[in-house]
Amino acid sequence: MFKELELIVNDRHNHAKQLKVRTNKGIIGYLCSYVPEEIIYAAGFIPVRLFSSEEAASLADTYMQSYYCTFSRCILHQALAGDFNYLDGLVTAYTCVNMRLAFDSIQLYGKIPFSRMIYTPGIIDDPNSKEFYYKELLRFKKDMENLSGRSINNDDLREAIKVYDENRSLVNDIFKDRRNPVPSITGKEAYIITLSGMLTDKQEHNEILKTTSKQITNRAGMKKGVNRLMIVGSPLDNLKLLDIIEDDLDAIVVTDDTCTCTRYILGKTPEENINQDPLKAIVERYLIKRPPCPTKHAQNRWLQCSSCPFRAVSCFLMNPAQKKKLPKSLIFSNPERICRFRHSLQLAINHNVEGVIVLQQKFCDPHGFDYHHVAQSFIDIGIPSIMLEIDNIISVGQIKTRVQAFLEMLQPVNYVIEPEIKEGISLNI
Amino acid sequence: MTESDSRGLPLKTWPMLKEVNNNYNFQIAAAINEGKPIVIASGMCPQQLQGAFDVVWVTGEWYGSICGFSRDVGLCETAERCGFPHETCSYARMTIGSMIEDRGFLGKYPKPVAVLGTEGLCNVQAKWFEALARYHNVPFFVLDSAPIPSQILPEWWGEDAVKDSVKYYAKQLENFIDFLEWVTGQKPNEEKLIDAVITMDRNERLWDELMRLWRAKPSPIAGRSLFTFENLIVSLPTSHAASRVLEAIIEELNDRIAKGISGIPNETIRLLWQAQPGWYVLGIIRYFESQGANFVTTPYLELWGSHFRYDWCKEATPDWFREFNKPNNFAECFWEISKSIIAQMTRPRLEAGVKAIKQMALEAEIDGGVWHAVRGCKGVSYGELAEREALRELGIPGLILEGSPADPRDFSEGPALRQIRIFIEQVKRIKKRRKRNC
Amino acid sequence: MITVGIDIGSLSADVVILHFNDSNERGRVLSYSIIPTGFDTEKTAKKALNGALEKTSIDIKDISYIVATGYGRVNIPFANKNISEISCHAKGANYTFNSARTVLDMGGQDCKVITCDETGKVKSFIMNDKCAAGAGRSMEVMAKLVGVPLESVGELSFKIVDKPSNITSTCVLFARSEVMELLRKGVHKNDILAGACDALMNRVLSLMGRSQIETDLVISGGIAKNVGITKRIEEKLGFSVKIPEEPQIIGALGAAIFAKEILCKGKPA
Repeated sequence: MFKELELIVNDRHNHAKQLKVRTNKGIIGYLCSYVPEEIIYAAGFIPVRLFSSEEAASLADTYMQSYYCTFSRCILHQALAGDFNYLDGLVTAYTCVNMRLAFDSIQLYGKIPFSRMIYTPGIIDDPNSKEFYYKELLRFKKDMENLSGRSINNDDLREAIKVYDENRSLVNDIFKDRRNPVPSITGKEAYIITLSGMLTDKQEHNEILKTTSKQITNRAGMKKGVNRLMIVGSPLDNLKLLDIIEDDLDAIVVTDDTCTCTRYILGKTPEENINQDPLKAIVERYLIKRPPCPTKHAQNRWLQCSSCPFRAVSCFLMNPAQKKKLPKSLIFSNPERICRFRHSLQLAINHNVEGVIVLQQKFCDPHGFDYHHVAQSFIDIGIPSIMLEIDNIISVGQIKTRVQAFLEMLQPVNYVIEPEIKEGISLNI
Repeated sequence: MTESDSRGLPLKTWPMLKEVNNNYNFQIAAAINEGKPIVIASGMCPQQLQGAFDVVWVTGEWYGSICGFSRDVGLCETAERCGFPHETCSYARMTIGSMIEDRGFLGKYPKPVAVLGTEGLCNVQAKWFEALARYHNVPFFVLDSAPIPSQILPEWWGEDAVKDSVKYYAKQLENFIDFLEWVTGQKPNEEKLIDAVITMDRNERLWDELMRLWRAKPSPIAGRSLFTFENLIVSLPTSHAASRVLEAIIEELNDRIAKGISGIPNETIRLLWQAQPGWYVLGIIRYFESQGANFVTTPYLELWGSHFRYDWCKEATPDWFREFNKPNNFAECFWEISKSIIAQMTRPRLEAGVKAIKQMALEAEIDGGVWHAVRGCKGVSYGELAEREALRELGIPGLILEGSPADPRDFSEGPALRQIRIFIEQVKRIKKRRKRNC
Repeated sequence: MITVGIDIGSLSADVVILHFNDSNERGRVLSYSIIPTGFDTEKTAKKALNGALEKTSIDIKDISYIVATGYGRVNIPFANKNISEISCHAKGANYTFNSARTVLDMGGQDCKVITCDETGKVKSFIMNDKCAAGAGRSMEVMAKLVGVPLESVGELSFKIVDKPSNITSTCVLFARSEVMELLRKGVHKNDILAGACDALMNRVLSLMGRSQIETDLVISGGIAKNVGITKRIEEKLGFSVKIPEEPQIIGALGAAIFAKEILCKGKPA
């Protein structure tokens, strides 16, 4: 059913090149999900996210030490090898130091004609940050205008927001079904949907999604009674991992908190801002409405704690007496998604998750420091978890052993007798 | 730790430095015992603010480095047992381990009333302190950096973009001071803050002078000593005691330079060092010195001064950005602090960093470069390989040593010594060849 | 009822044949075999099974259920089910010692620490299968370097002449050159072996430190035969460990027990 989308993911470079020819638009590569794609889209380009590949990042060794994450090193390797030669520009957001070094190195040693680092603030709920980010995005918009040779007005931005919000809404509708006892799509298919969306034109993606979603309802032959898992952690861009979890072993991934799937499509642009000032709406959406990455901080996150349904033992539990005396200047707005842990716990409950796989990309600091609290907060609500350390190259045997052992921990061994041993097996060598 | 110069004599300023460093340790140990309010802050937090409040300010990186110096591997293991990956910052693991076990080189662990993190140089400086705050269940504040001129590409942005950055940070400082007022229950002292800002600026300029004298030919001081002086500018930048020590060492080095005294007995080659040393294995640098190789400059220490951070972006920096004006009130203090700190906090574009180190290498007339590829410290070791390539183009050979600032398990002494031996021979050979060709 | 457990590891393949008179019985080991793993996993499995059957009077038709485990478990088409070696080691250790709550299994290429409950069900596990320095391979390298048979490493490591060497290299390959340097300097091979055992013990303990260790601790796999490691662990932890008579077959044993549990509780599909 998702063959067309899967092809985009598996043959991404060729797809991008064909897209360029077909639509006659430029392609701007981006590294981080915090990049405000709508602005790039409004300028007439197609934003395409860069991912790692399953090869040794040997060319990156000259510029990036081995203790930077392989996700970033692989991207640098591909850039130096010329795999991204079809890009007309490269943009990233100031989030994670690994991707920053990859971006800087490509800027200096790769041959990409245009590059721009967008300074995304590290504090997401302070009005000061929003004001600063607005000015920064005004500058970025101007850069896009200079690159494209045409101006971007508010209507262009509104149009881009409409396309992107429609995409988010279509994917969300498909994903809603995953809460059911028998989800109509597997975890792998969910990732195919979001990854392909990041690698192609959003309008085309919307059309494919509209057709596909009709075929999904009441889809036959889906697995019943298998373990429901959730994936939390570092970006996942290799579908092989999901093949192991869902095909080789009997389980299904029903939800996740990774920036290559759910974290990318949750968070609609706030309607109230779009008409007045669409750029302000984009600021709101990217800072506050979307689930945060561990590299982003909400100064007032802990203000939510007393009303959080998961007041887990290990969380911030501020002394309520102190909270009353907090100076007004430090009380910022209180949106729902600024606590990453509450968000992922809520997702787990909504989807009846039985076990959590915490993906830890080797050398990923932001997710590495969160791991302790992620594991503890899931234990606090009674959901076991296992940490899987991954690299760009999936070592099938090692992953399979761990995930299989985890599934065996989750439930008793399936006591259904397999067919009898076939007769006539020869034991002679 | 006394060093012997070419006369076989140690630095006269050593006892003074030791006293100031020890007093700092005692002050913190006393604060732990007496229950005085302690604030644990990231090294990139503006130290000037500690002048406005009567709190004991403990820098996380300093704490982690001394734990590393004492080779307390058990602390790292405790942190790893709780799920913090081995590959992350060794300072963080040491501090977190010390927090969980409630022990450290000061006796007990300095339990804070608030924790201050920063975001901008690397991600860990915020995540690590967040973990501490969560564990202690105390208020946590993050200071975000802003782009500095060398980050900004297009010419057309002009000065307004720089002003936006400074304004962004200064506004954060307003919130920051409100926050500190709230957690300490004290009103901020404007006079003391002004004094702190002025003293820190003076100390930074003194540090610049120290860095400049260090590069004389021959260098009047063993490079390793500067790492002990580093504590002055990292933990005590707003203190008058630090000013006195810096003035004393500057005077002494000027004296040595006038008399032609070199810091190590026989300086035959001059090297550049990059990143933190392995605090548990400073002996490695002793080995270099025993072979006549002295470290005469390092961007890592230069960063603490007031000069180098603007070198990254000379052309794009408006004059008002790098000038220091004596502040008269809170708002002016915030403006001055903002200008100085954001130049330090954000890594520049790789291009600017590479240019700066090339210039540094030529000015200091170095014969080779040693990059300590510090595992887990991506902020400081950012772009090391690109820097080595750049110096190689100038004909300056480079050596990469893998290690970490505070975790002894990440460094293998045997193989490292072998690599250093080979490298020094290579540098000497290339130097000889260059002399012959001249 | 006869059940079979097959453990195809990276270095050795083990088979255990269990016999049960009825479903409530504890059962007894009829026979077992251990052979080196060849390139063809299926052939190796058949050979091992053959080897075990030859020591008994039963025939393959008498076998009720076969469970395969180990890294090669998916390539055995005649097995009825495959179960991870983690679950199987816990089960096997628990069968051998009912008081087992933590299992340390170290083979040639990996090391696992498993905690389990009183029925042998896994509660948590940690694996290191990425670095040879934390596995039995490092002992083989050391033994070869100093020129002693692997079996005598443990004993010799306690006959210290001067003091245990401090081997600083974390990587086995770098440790080789370090050890050769020590040998050149005239350091006694017992001291070097003591140092190597210390280093391996520290790595094992640091892996174990990431789990909540509960007694009794069972040590299985090839490393259980090395007193140089097992005694050092006992000294460091301060309690005695349990070592099975045949530590290499624990995985296959657990697999055979699972086979029985499936048969006794299962319904026809």
